[in-house]
Amino acid sequence: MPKLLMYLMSVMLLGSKACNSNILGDFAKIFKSVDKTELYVIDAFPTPAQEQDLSKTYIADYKVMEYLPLSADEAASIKLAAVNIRNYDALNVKSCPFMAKYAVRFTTAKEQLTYIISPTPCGKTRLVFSANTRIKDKSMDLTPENGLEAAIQKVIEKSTVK
Amino acid sequence: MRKLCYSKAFFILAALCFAASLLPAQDLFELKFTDKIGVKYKGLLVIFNDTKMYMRIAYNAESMYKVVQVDYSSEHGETNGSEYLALTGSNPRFITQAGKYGYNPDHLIFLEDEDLPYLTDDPDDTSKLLQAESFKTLSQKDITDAYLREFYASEEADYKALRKMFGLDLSTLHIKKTPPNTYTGATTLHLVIAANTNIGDIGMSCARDQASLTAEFKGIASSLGITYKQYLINGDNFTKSAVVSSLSSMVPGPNDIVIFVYRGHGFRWSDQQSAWPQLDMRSSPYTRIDANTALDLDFVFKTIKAKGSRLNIVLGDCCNSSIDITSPITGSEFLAMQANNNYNSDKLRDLFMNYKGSLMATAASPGEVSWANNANGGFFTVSFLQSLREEISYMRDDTADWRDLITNTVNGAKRKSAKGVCSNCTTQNGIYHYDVTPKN
Repeated sequence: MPKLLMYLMSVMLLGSKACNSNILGDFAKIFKSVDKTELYVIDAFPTPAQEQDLSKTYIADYKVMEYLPLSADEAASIKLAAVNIRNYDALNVKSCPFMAKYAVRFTTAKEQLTYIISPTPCGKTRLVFSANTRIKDKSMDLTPENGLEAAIQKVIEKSTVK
Repeated sequence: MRKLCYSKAFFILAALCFAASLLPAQDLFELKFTDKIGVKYKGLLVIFNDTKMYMRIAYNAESMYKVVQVDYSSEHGETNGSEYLALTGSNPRFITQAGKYGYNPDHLIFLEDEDLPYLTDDPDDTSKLLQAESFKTLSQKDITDAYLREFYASEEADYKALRKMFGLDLSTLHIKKTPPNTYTGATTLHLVIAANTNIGDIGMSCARDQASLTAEFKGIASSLGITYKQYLINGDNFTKSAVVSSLSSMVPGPNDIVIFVYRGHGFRWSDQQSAWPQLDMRSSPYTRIDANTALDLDFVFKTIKAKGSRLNIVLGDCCNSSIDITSPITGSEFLAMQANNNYNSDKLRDLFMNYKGSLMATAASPGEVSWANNANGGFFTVSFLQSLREEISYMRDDTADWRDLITNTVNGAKRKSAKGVCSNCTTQNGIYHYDVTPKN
């Protein structure tokens, strides 16, 4: 089968019609100019806007439980993992409920892209893109042993040790 | 939007061969290609299931008409952001005289954005890569006796089975007669489907499975000449109370068949002992998981079983992995592929009319997730429909049997989620409780 896959690659490189299959789509553009990367521990379920406590902070309707400061290296590591399409499953989805635990927010001068992450065993992520009043979102499954959770876990472990 | 990129050929095969597909048993495809020296080949690809498929290839060489059979295995995956389906050929053997030269098995590669598959018989030499001239699904009108005889000898079992399947065998033309079954009186098939068609991640796959299941069982009831009733809990109506209400209002008779299928998210409480999953009856992520939204599959099974119908089938195609919530303390709870007619109606009748008892199965063992994809549906539901088709097929010699069917369902979903077939999946090992016996 590896030989066949080599074939496949050669076939694709030989000019099969273009099909933009990048799972992140237009959302990936934001990573060219991210100014700030933030990591939060959040509630498992979102809270409807009308039920939110004004004294609390919410990200994409999820109540923030904890803010975890990131070093430059940690932010770079999370950003790298977030943009790596190998961390997402474009084909298959797990039939388990999304149980949010972390939010990662990437901010540029004009836009924000927030990853709401449901960790393993139900590894999934919901991307919420906002620019001015425009909001778009999409859901994707995370691959087993994906780098995004691993990068976050390193930060968690560090903060736990402290 | 990705689906817009699928070519017709890829979609058909990916939708059939899988890694994840609604693979009707015994689908037939025709492939035509010409090699570098101008020899024309016509292939008949016969797919039994995702592990058993072969192609008969007919061609003229050495002044002889030759037919060779090549076995195939499939791998569906993604590379460089594009999906592929590879059918790897092996074990070539001549059906006709072999002649002087052998036959190297062809390997087929379907790409999501190519209309026709590529072939090669030598993975070491890229110059031998060919693209097929045509590839199509064969329908009833394409299959004639003369067509089959291009690929089969008249005494071959598959030839006879295909003749029966496509209505070419006179002995099958009277199959509309109703063989006797032991139970007298009217029978109704009650199909209850709870499908979370609104939820973002798996909604599309749930809708697909719902369509396949309703088409299949409606067709089965029609073939058996029994009454069909369906109860759909989906969309905005996908709630625990709607399932409770449907089950409460259902009053099956003693000779009836009840089939309950759940397609949605599933989980287990962090302190749960029972092996059976909780069904997540929420259609909005804003709703919190609690006793009002979780439904125990085992409870559904017991509720249906208590109604006293002859045959009860309860299937949960959902995850069985733990969430970080303990079980709530509660009081006692409440209470195509489109169908086609290529199945052996005697076997169908045997399976649905001459068995009694109860069967519950779910897609994953405790701690495991189950898998689905939007193009094809849930691996477990797809495997169930494949196994059902296989069980009632003309091409199976043995008698129809529910234990075989559910074992094949569990094994089929396991295969589809295994590494090598689904690169990003973790293997799901379905579990079942079986208490079905022949009626006598």
